[in-house]
Amino acid sequence: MPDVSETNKTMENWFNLYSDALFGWAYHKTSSKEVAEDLVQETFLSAVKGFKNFKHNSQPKTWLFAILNNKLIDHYRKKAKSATKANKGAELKFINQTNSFFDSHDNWLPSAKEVAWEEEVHLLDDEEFKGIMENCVGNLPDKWQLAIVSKYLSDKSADQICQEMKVTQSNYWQIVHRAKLMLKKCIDSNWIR
Amino acid sequence: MYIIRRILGSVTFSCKRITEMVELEETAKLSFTERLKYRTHLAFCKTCRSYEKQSALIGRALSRLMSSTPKDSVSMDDTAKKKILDKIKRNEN
Repeated sequence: MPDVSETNKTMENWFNLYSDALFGWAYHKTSSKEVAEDLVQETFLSAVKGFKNFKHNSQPKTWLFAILNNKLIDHYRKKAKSATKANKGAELKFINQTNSFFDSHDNWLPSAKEVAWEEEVHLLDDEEFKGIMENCVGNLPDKWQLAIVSKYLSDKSADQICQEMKVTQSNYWQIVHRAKLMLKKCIDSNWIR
Repeated sequence: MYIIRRILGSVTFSCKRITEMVELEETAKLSFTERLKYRTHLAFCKTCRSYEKQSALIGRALSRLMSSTPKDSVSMDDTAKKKILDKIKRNEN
């Protein structure tokens, strides 16, 4: 087990090396300097505590980012938890909206404009498309964002995510499903070629 | 189109259910019969076929988005850095 001064030195060293990258990442994901600073702080405090679990053949940067990603998910979870009535109303509104894509037999309603973008794999590298995606994700209700962030930011299993979100499996898949539907419509109407 | 969808809907699943199954298909959570009906529906329904591809592309875009580093780098200001460094030290001693 590393002694205190060794941990101390390593941590200071890592802080100087990676704090800006971690901060930039957290800021990018939360759009708040204060929140990003808090998350970086929590990351390093957890790193100090968990230093004995750090495997010395792995990359410190990767390890720190993994911790930060968990903190980020915690952050989204807190946000989703503080769901006020207004938030619940917003979620209901989104549920109604996704339902409105379909007719009374649950088949697709013809949409005003069909933009075929599904074959365009190069979109993944398109900055404008990324920006649209980011906005579209940002517009989702907090709980849906939490589901999406948990699914795509971490390598957690669906079981794990459900436990943490305190939702059933089918509930979770419904959320991911509806979030995807909203994202599809959002891209349909914002992506203009 | 409408008639075809209505028939497809009763023989297989509705389009809405198919969009749900797209998620489950990705994770291999469909049973054999479900998958058969799912595939049949897709074979006849262009909109669901597009959706299947769109959903996959959205998935890939989300993975990238979550792992992409910001283009314009922001850095933490020095007072915040100092504060955190102090906390790290205090935490250990």
